[in-house]
Amino acid sequence: MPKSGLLPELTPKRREAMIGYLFILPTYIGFAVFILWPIIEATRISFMEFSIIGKSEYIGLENYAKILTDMRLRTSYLNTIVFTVFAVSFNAGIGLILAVLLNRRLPFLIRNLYRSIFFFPVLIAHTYIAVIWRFLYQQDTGVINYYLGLLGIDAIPWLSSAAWAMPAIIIMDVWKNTGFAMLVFLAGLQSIPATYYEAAQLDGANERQIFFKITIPMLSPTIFFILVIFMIGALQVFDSIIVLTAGGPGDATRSVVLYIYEQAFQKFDMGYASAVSMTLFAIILILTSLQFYISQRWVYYDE
Amino acid sequence: MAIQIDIGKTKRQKISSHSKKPLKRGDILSYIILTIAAILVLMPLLWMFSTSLRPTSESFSLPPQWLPTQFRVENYLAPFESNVPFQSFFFNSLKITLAVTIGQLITCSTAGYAFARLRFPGRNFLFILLLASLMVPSQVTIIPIFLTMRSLGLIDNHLAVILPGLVSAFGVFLMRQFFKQMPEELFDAAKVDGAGYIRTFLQIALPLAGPALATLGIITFNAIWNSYFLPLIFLNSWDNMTLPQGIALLTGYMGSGNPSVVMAAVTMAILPVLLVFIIAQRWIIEALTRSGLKG
Amino acid sequence: MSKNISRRQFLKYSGMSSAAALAAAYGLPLSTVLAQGNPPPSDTAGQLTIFNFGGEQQQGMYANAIERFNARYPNVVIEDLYTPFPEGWGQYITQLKLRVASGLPVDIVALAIEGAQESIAQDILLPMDDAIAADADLQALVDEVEPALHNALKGPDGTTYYFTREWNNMIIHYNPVMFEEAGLDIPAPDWTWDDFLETALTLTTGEGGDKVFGFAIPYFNFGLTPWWHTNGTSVLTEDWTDSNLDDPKMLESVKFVHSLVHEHGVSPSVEGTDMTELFMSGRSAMSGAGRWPFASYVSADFRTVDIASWPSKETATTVFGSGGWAISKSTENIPLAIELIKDLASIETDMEAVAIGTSLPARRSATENDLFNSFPEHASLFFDSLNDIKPVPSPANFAEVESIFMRHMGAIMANSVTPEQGLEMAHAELTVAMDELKERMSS
Repeated sequence: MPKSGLLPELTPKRREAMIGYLFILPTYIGFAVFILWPIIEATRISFMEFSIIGKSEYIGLENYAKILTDMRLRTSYLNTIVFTVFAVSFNAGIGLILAVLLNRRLPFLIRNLYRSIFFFPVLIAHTYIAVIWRFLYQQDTGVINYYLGLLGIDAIPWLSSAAWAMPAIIIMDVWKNTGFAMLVFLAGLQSIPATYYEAAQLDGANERQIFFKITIPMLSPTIFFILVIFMIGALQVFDSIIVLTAGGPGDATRSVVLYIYEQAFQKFDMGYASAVSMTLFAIILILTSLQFYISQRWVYYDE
Repeated sequence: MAIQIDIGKTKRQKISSHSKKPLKRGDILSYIILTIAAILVLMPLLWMFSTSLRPTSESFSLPPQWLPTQFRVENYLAPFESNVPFQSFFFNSLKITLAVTIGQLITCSTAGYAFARLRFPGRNFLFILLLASLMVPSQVTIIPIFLTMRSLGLIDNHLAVILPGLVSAFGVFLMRQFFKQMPEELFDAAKVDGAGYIRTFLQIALPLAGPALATLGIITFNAIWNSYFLPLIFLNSWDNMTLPQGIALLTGYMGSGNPSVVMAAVTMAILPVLLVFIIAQRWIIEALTRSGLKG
Repeated sequence: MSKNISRRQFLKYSGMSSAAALAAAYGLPLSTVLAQGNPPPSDTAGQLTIFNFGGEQQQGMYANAIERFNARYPNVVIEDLYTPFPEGWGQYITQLKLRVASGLPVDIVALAIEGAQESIAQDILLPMDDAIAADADLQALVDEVEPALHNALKGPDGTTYYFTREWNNMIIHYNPVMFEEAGLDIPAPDWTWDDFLETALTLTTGEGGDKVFGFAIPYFNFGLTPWWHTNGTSVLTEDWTDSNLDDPKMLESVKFVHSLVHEHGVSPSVEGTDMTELFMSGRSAMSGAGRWPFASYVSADFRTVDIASWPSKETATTVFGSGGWAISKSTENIPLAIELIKDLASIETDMEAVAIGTSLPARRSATENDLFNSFPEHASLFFDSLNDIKPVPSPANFAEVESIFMRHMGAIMANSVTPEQGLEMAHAELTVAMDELKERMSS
């Protein structure tokens, strides 16, 4: 190939890399300006006693030292982990089951109807969902306890007890978000080439074998995606809680992000809030990296 | 593309033979589970809808009235008679949401493809770095973002909400998974045919990414349509506000607005997203029949 | 420089745009420059930005006020920046601070008492005493408002920054029909906690889904405060500088509220309950609020409601909160801003507030009409409560104080801790917070 004096020689590998960078450029410019830079700033703030108006001063690792002895933060982390374990399992699990069931040969209209119904809660903002759920959960005047009463069961203090508040939130969160997982799983299921199913059927495999030997492995990239995304989201749970209990009663449902919100906007201690979010960031990063590492063993990409 | 046509033919044959099979026990069980689940999901929504049709004083009675007992259509007209200019709030929301959705479909599909199918130095590092954007809550980045927008002169400008929305680690991740999930043979075949990287992307990968793009489109449209926090911080002048802010305004001073009217507004606000959902769903099916890939 | 030259002439000859710059340049106190009050001519051009909050009805009210202003000053552009009723005052104030710190224009600030002290402490507002002394209209604005309301928004040293725009108190809402059916007289003006409890017990009937409660507790910081004030106590000390949660009377009051739910069963459990919803649907015979639910009552055509004073223990009192307009220090046009406030806080706005029904107008005079007094029957009790009333304790760290107290109150009401334990822990935390505030204020 004739060498052009201006352009560097583009080997196929170089061309691939250049196009790769080109393709990620739009996302990365935005990322640098609107995400990376603010995160770096937030990190800087975490080393300060920060005031929007007036002087802020650097205090080194003081905020981080405070984190080590912060009992309320420990409680928040515990609550967050409990929430994450249950919310992610149920959201992903139920979503998967619904998607698989809806992927069967059902009449077109029924399938679309069910799909829309399950996805509906995703479309409504948390604030307005909370209106319904407060009415459902209210201990003395709420719907769930009313029906329980008809069955002779004592009223459950859904939102008014430390024991039940978190389960109540998890249930509402699952109700709202399962449809989301279902949607993503459905798309994943429908991307599995029919040839695989046909080949398996020709080999005489039954439904159960097809599901576990073909569907699940082929769906594993999607499953991995859902688990990672839901985990990252659950560890930062805020909306589901603030509209229902705002962290209460006491600190029973206080998540880490709720605690950060309190430090930032009620205590006006942005420095400490930033420091706490840095610890949360580190934990999420470690857990996510772990997920990626483990994924090498069970996620199947057709490569 | 002879292979594609064959698969398409076989698939169409398969469909017709499927629908003639008798109901198996598994099917009945599926129906039962699905119906129970659908009822559990639907009841609270029905209650919300019923509330939008009757006066507040009758909405919280026990036993709960799941179905509408009255049809106060006035509740649906009331938002338009309030001080909130819902028409302009609606168009603001539409403008922002469409801009971000279309923008994200472009940025995320290209970036997702690159991370899935192209090799370049630092690929894994850059991907994890991008994911990091999902790991810091907005409460602590809002002040730096505000100051950035301020220096860009975008306070009280729709771009303050649109531009950050164009970056989506979630979307990039989603598209990456879908592109990785595609069979290697397709890309090998393309290479053999001598297709360049960009052509492969545009003519082979993208058309097959229909389900993923539709899914991302629905999710993004819904997220931006409902987004409240960024507009709350950046859009404060009456001309620029969005629908969620409008509904919050209806909720009124110390919640003194009419909850039934608020529910009516919420119900109406869902309709555009529902429309997008229905259209996108259809597009998934069509894309599938064309591409000949189906499970 | 003589004090007798008009401020307009000052600005014209000095080429300065803001009074603050002028004062700095000539080494004059800001108040002196402000005191040159002459309304600017009607063809003045300029732009004013209002940092505002409220629901959609409030926005309409203020839009009308702005229209009236523009009728007087057609060449002034007003930007009314709106936050739907704040998610939390902390977030609202943070937004305000961000705007001011980043140099975005803010001329007029709307704030409620919960945020007033913080805004004053951050030194972003103009002291108005000299301007008031020099401007008869401004003086009238102050004089027409009840002293209790006006004083609540003053700075710690008695400086006026805010002009009252609206207020609300806490008062008992009751269903007179249910009282009649139970054979009860309407609450006497001086009824006590014991009378109240007896009444609530009589009114609590039924079981399960048919249960009607005597009283739906207004479960939020503002709504619980009357129980402290009527027992002669409060969350903070009189001067709002220290925690008062170790006061045995606080324990007594908290225990009383707790007993309404857990011992006497006259109130439904508090989490997730909206007292207005329950009251309007007939599930509770009494509730507590200010005037704000009346807008909902009217729009839902719910008429079986009247108001009564809060039951007393030590004193017959209650609590109030108010909102006001202030001028930001960063304004570049003080005289115009002053004129705008005159329109925003005018009697017309008050009359509209009366009609809307969500709050009480700043002026008592706006309530001397049928519109206000026809519904509820005892509407006069609203302004009468000002005879003996205290504002909700609102130190500069109000958001934190509220957060600490309500968190422990929540634990108490959920029986996670006893009232004694809860208050003890709350007192410890609150003391730390108040100490931090004192440190911040002194530096």
